[in-house]
Formats: sequence, C-alpha cells, structure tokens
Amino acid sequence: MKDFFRWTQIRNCRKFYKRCYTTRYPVDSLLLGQLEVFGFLEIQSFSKYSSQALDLFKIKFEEEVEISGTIGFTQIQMSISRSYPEMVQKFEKTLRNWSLEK
Amino acid sequence: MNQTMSTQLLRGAYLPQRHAYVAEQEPAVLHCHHYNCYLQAVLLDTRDYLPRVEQLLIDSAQEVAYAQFKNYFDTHAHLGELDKMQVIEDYFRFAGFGKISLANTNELGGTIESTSDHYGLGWKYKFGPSKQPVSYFTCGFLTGALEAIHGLKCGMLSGHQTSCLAMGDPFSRFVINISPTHRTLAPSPQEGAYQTYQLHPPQDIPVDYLGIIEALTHMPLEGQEQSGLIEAFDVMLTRHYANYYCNISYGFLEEFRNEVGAENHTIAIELLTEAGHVCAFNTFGGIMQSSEWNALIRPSLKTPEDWVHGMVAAVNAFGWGFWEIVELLPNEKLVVKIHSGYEANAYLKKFGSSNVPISFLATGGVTGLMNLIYTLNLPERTPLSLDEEVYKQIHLTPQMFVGRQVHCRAMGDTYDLIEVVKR
Amino acid sequence: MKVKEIQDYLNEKVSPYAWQRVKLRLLPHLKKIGKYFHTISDHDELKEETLDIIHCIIEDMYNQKLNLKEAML
Repeated sequence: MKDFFRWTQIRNCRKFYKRCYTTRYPVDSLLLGQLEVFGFLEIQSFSKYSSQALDLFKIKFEEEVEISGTIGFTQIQMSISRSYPEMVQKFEKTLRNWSLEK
Repeated sequence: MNQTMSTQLLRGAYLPQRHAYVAEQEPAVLHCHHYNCYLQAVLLDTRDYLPRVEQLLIDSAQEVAYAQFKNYFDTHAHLGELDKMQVIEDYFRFAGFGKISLANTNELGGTIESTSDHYGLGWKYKFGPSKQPVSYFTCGFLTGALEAIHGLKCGMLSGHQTSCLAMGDPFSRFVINISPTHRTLAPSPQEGAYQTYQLHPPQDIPVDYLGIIEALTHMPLEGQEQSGLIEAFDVMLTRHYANYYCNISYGFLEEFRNEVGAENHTIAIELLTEAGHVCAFNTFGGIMQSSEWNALIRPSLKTPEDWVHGMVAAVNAFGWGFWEIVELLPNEKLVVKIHSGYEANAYLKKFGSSNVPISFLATGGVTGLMNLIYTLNLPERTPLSLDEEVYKQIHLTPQMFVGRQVHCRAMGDTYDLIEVVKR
Repeated sequence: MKVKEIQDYLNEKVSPYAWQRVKLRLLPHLKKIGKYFHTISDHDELKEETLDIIHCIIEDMYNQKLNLKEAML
C-alpha cells in the first residue's frame, strides 16, 4: 500500500461520521496504546471461544467516539459524532504516525 | 437504593437447549429498528379500515410487559415501589428501548417523557418525520409496567401518546390513566410451545458454529447509559419481546382476514415477509461488515458459502431458535431448517394451528441472506453503505432470490423449512 | 395509466414493495370503484382520482412528491 491507509465512508450512519479504514499494517498493541487518547479501551477475547477467531478491540468515549477493529487485522472502523469533525483528522494523524513508527 | 439495584436487575438468561433468551418467561429476540419500524408501518397502512390496529400495537406491548414484570414482582415480593420502578427503567434501557423515568407516576397512571425512545428515533431515522405519534410499543410497555408495579389487573390502565420524537418534538410524552372502559387484555403466551433441540453443526466447513454462538451470546449487548439505545452493526438493536411481534403480526393478520377476506390476505403476508427481508438486509448486512464479524467469524471464511454459514451460525445467537442449513447450492439455492423458531412457538400457544405458513420473519430473513451474499455480492464489496439505493439494486436484479416456507410447525410439521431460489 | 406501469414505477423509483404498501392503503378507495386486491389486474386502467390518492399516499409514506403522469412520459 502506497498510502498509510485507505478509507470508505459508510453513508447510512445517522449521528456519526463513519469510516472504514484499511491500514498498512495489522493492528497491534502499539497502535492501541496510541488510540487510547480517544477513549476507554475494551478488548473482547473472541479467541477464547473459537480457535479460529481473533480478538476485538473497541475504544469508546461516551456516545461520541467509537473506534473498533480486530487485533492482527488491517481494518478499523471509526464513528465520530458529527459534533466533533476535527476528531477525524486527529484519528488519521494517529494512524499516520503509527505507520511511520512501524 | 443503588445497593438494592445492584442485586435486583432483571436480565433473564440465554437457554442453549432452546436457543432462546428468556427473562421472566418472556422470550426476547434481537431485532433492529428497520424491522421494528417497517413492520409497524405495514400494519398502520391499514388503519383507515382496521381501526383496531393502533390499539393492537399498544395492547400487545401492555400484555407482554405486564406479564413479565408481574412474574418478576411476584417472586421479588420484598421490592418497594421505587425499587420496582427502577427495575423497569433499567430493563427498558437494557433492552435498547430507550430511557424513561417513572418518577411522575402512581397507581392512577401519570405522565412519562422520554428524550430517547427507540421507536420515536428509529422511525425518524428510517422514514423521516412522522405526522402522528409512532411509539405505540413504548406506550403499551409503560402502561403494562405501571399495572404490574401497583398490582393492578392488566387492562385497568390505558395509555396514549401526546408528543413524539418522530414528529420533531423534543421528547415523546405518554399519558397513562385509569381506563375509561372495562378492558380485559389477553394473557401473554409467555414461553410458547418451544422445542428443545441439539444443533448439528456441519462438519465439512471451516465455520465454528459453536464457538460463534458461545461468543455472541456472551457479548455485552445492552442499551447505553445515556441514551438507552443499543447502537451496533449500523442499526439500533433491541432485545425485543418475541411475543410482541407475534401478537401484532398474527393479530393483524386475523383482523385483516376478518375485514378483507381470507382470499385477499396474500398482500399482507407478502408485506410481513418483506419486513423480514428488510431486517436481513440491514441487520445481517450490518453484522457482516462489523468489527465483531471481522474478529470472530471472518478469519475462517474463504468462500461466499462460508459467509452464508457464518451468518446462519450467528443467527443461532439471536434467540430466533435453531437455524441449520440443509442444502446450499452456490448462487442457486438455500434450504434452512428451523427448530423452536420464535414465530411458531408463540403462534402455536396463542392461536393454535394454521392452514398457511406463518414464519414470515424467517422466510424474509433467509431470503435476505442469499440476496446479500449472491445478488449483492457483499463478501467482495464490503465495506458498503447499505442504504435504500443498494436495497433497490437487489430488487431490480431480475434473478434476485425469493423464498417460501415449505414446512411449518404451526401447520403440524416438526420443524420450519425455508427454501430460497432465484425468481 | 395501467396498474402494471404504476407498480413497476413505484417499486423501481420509490422503494421495493412500495406498490404493495400503496395498495394496502388504497383498499377503501378500491372498494368504492368495485375492485378488491384479488380482482385488480395488471391491465386495469386507473383513473385520475385514483392517481391523486396514490400521490397523497406516497407523500405521506415516503415524504416524496411524485407526478406519476409526467414520470411516465
């Protein structure tokens, strides 16, 4: 991938800017640490239920921000309240910095 | 009071031998605002000549909420009035119906305002502003819940809605009073004529049915603290009452046949089934594009047929019964067998037998799945905005999939069987 | 204008199953003109009065203003 990430806008989201990002590298703990500034991190350990499954992460701040994805996979979904459009740029900057650090 | 609350939450449990969520004898099923609102809209399309249909929507909610909370309070006799109110407010939020406060109510009724109500907001998001109030369910729920709190008989109170979020009002307001006429509402069919069963996961595919069901039934899906809404998979989800859907769908069909004639019921059945198709498109589509799917299910998927299996595995965690694929021919045919489907469970208990198939949601749902996977080619196109334009694309495809119910428990069969082929 | 033309137009341009929902609402009117769901056929011609009612129903149901006659041209 030439860019740090690609994204697709999901149009049917009511209160949020919702985008689906494909990242250059699989999501790792370094990125999760950097994304924690956006909210509280939760991990759902799906791998404990199924050997084929990966673990899900979610970073939420009240009902304004939700960033979620799969640890070890290159897709991240981001929903940010329409009241905080500047958060989109901050999120993308974080992705860019993380890619450079890798 | 908070201390009391921490031990007095009504939640219910997932029963693996029935693939059902049951809370105080009321089965709960996962459904989205698209289904909830579309189904209601179809019923309301007939209100000019079925004047009882609006009351049916309210009464059906009143019956199930009353039955559930009466059971709960009968077995928790030590709870005081305020504790009972909190149990109800909490369950309403937990189930994704929204946020309410019963503070201004007593045994004579009262007024309840909500700034976050699933039906009011869901309707506005789906259809745009409404000219009339739309939160019939919420109205009936509140009325039945108040009756249960105060030990009244079901039907002694009646409610109506005076403002609505769907109409652009800042809140939905419900006014509940002593019923001016003597009303006796029907008892809830509660757990219905359910079946116990053991799922037989297919052995020759990479999808881990049992792991998926286990993971999904343990997911913390509940209404958010502030809004009381479950925003997940790009839809607003609810842990809704299976018996509510059955009361309104089959109650409506009965009224419709009485008024319009049984020979005319095809149009009503088509639309009830279409509600299931709308549900599949939005909820299944949302799930198959979610981070949960990407983590839990997608790593094992290689072919479109695996996607079909992955979604069917997930449906087994919705409280909809046991879904098993009997036959899957790529881009050609899908046959799904259902044991303990919630539609048949309730129908058999409340209405007895039927001379036509009645699993409308299941028929629409299985059909919708094939259209997502093959007609829309979602596995290759995700991430995709699943909006009205995309939905139209499916229907404009000459060879979209159509479904029919081949076997039906309400007609005497031992399971439901849905067959989907190209039209 | 024929029933089939309206059905195809609504289901294609407004929403899948829009015609079925319109028909459900139209019943009282259909009865007035001697029709029923099971007797209405694709080739039946709908008059101006019926089209006006359909316009109102679509506006109410989908918040869309249509002019069926122009749309068919």
